[in-house]
This record gives sequence, structure tokens and C-alpha cells, in this order.
Amino acid sequence: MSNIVNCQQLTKKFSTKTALDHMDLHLGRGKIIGLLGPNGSGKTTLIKLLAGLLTPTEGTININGKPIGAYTKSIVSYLPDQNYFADWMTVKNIFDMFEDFYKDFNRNKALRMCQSLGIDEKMKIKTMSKGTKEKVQLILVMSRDAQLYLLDEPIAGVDPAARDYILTTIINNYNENGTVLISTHLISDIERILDEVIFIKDGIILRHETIDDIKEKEGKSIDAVFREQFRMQPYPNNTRDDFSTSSTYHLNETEEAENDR
Amino acid sequence: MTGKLMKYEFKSIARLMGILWIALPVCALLLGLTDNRTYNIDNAFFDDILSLVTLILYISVFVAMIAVTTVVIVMRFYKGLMRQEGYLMHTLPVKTWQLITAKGIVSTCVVLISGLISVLSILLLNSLDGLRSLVDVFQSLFATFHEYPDSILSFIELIFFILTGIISGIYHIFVSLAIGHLAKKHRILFSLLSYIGISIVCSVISTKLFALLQPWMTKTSAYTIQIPVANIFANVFEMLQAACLISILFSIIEILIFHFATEYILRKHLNLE
Repeated sequence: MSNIVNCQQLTKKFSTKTALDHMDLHLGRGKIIGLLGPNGSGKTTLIKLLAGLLTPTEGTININGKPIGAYTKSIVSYLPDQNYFADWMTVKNIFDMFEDFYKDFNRNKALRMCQSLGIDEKMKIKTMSKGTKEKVQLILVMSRDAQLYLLDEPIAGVDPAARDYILTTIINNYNENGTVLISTHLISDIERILDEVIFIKDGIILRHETIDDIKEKEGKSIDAVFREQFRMQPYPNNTRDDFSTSSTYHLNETEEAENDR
Repeated sequence: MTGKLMKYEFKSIARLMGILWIALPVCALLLGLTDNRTYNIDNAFFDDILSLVTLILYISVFVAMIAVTTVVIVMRFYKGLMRQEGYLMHTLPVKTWQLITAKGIVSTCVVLISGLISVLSILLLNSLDGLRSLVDVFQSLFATFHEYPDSILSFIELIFFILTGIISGIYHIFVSLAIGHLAKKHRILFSLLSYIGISIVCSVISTKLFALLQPWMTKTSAYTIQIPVANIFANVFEMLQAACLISILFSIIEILIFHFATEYILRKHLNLE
């Protein structure tokens, strides 16, 4: 079976910053893939390019064998990292809109999810809390029978209970023949649901492997491997002992000054 | 798909514009009624105050409608395609030209409705007699069409002149916002500068074009009307018709250039950061 995503030499530059640097990426079907990397590593840029919200500076993107366009958008379900609703809309309006534009939108599924969360169809978007808006967006995205789900930081900024709800919603509702690409830096929460991981840093893919392969090779959790891979050197490069020494030194200095007086 | 996009565009605009579209004729009717009442010397002071208040109310709503119509066109394009709402609109399975066309058609309708309601409100200032005079205008218009069938063409030309003028004005806003989007920073400022720049270029070209075509316009009018050139009014009318035709063609060219430039920028250089 051919890949759902093929990117060749994909590059995206913003002014002087290179967000993605000649990236080759191939994603198979029927998988949940974690796009993991520190802040500013290029995760959101990659997802936006796949969603068609950014245009590449160089390189090509193919989804299901087609370049980004109306067709790819009809098979991609995208969850952005921000709210995209117009204030005037109600939940019903937005469901109507999705029903009108996406053939794969399952309204009954969306309504059932709303009921389980106590969200009424007549609720206005502008009266909703940030968390409820995020949940409505997740419901919309997961109520589609898409071939590629692009979820940009779906669990960032929510409490651990809500994280569980979101992850369970994803697992229970995605089209099993489709692929889910989830970007996050909260790895320990998401690790259990992933089939593959992509480690990305400075717009370059450092690793793209299955979870089983990584665990077999490293004998550690993905979270531990990630921390090792992306460990940053603190500045100044002091350990806890260094701090205690320096504070002792500081105290001694103060004592000496008092003695002098 | 363009039709579906238009449906949502209308829904988003209707709730704001709808209030003004209802409020303006109501204010005009109120002003008309207060002004046309029989003058009562005992209540002169209160009558004057009432007339003044309704007059201020009418003018305010009138100005608000013009301002809101302009702002709505700008904001629906800017917020809908270049800000957060763009995350939804640009991920819908539609082509970029459909997004632009839907906004263009709806914006044109909004301008036309606002224009018609403004005219209606002016007629209503003369209370319901104003509406009767509208009937008279239409009656005399149809009588003219009947007597001089050629005048129908002139009327259609006038309609096209207004319509193409409105559409090119709207697409001028769209292309300026799209050009502003190419800037890394200060996108609104760049949009404003593009708007001014395009206005200057268009007015220079149209002035040159009219200067170039002036001999042709004069000659055409002299040949076609088959009346003595001395008949200055007929000659001027024919010249105006020729000028109107050139303006229509110029506006159509503007619309096409603006549309394709906007479409190209949003398709090839979209950057929703």
C-alpha cells in the first residue's frame, strides 16, 4: 500500500529563519504517529504545510499521491493549535458547515460526542470557554472519516483529566485505515497510543522509527529517549552542588565583611 | 461549492448589516413623518427638538451604514482568509478562486443592497409620497423605453457601469490586502500603501487612456447619431456613452487583473502564521 504522505526536500523559510530544512518524510497508512520535538523545532510548520495553510519555499508535498489542493483538503482533518470559529456561529452552524463541505463528516457521531460532554447544539461559540471551544474543534475533527488527521498540540494547555478525554476520543474515533499525526512535547501522556515517532529539531528529522524498534534498541520509554536526545545545557552550567558552594562562598564573604566592620 | 461558501458569507454579514438595513428606512420614515406634520404653534419648540433628534438619528444611521458596509467588506476578507478564521476557510475542500469569488459576489450584493436602501430611505424622507414618486419614476422610465427603444441599451450600459465600478472597487480592496499579506511585518500598513499605489496607477492609466481615445469618442458620436454636430446636447450624450463604455471595459480589465493577482498570492504565497 502506498504512503499517505510523501514530502521531498521540503523546505520552509521565514525571513532569515529556516523552519524546515530539506526534509524527506514518508508516512504510511493506518498508524498513529507522534511528531515530537522541542518548541520551535518545526512541528507546527510541517503540519500547516500538510494542511495547506503555508506554501513551501522549496520541495514537494503529496498526500495520497496528489499535491496540496481541494482534493487533499477533502481527505485531511486538521486540528489547529488555535480557535478558528467565527463568533457569530453556534455549534449547529458549524456542524451544518462541516456537513455541507465534507462528505466524510458524521453528524450523528459529532452529536453523540457533544451529548457526552454536555455541549448543546444551540450554544454560541462566543459564550464558550476556551476549553469547550477546543473540545468542539476536536469533535469536528474526529467526526470525520478522514485519511489523514493532523492534530497540532491537541493536549497542550489542558488539565490531565482533559488530556485523557482527548486521547481516548482520538483512539476511539479515528478512521482505522487513516493515519493520525499528533504533534506534542508532552510525550509521557501520549506515548501509550503511538505506533511511530518522529523526532524533529531545527527543521530536521532526527529519528523516524516505530515505538517497538526504539524500545527494543534503547530499552527505555520514549519520554526518556526524548529527554536524552533533546537535553539542553543549562546556563550558567552549574549543578546543585555548585549552587550550594557559591552560596556558602557568598555567606562567607558576608561574614568576613561583618567581621571587618 | 461557491454557492455554499456564499451562504455562510451571507450568514456572517446579515446579522450586522440586517440591523442597519432595517434601521435606516425606519429612521427615514420617522424623520419624514415628524417633518411633514401640520405645524402646531403651541408645540413649536418640541416639534423642532423632535425633528432635530430624528434628523441626527437618520444622518448617524446613514453614515454608519456607509462606514459599516466598507468595514465589513474589508474585515470579512481580512479576518476570514488571513486571520484565525482562515484556518477553517483555507482547509475547506474548495479552490482558492472559489473563496475569493464567494467573497466578491457577497460583498457586491452588500454594496448594492446598502445603495438601494439608501435611495429608498431618501425617498421615504418625503413620507409615503416618496414611494409614490418612485412609481412615477419607473413609469416615465418605461415610457421612455417604449418611445426610444435605443435608450434601453443606454440604461443597461449605465447599470453595467455602476456594477463593474462596484466590483472593481471591491477587488481593489481584496488585492491590496493580498499584497499586504506578502509583507513579513506591518501587513495592514502595506495593504494600505498597496491600495494607494494601485489607485494612483489606475488613475494615471485611465487618464492616459481617455486622452488617447478622445478623438475616437468625438468621431464616433459625430458619425453614429446622424444629426447635425451642432446639436451639442446629443453630441455630449453620445460622448458620455462612449466614455461609459470605455470605463466598463477598463473596470472589467481591473477586475480580472485584481482577481487573478489575489488568487495567485493566496494560492502560491499563503502564510497563515
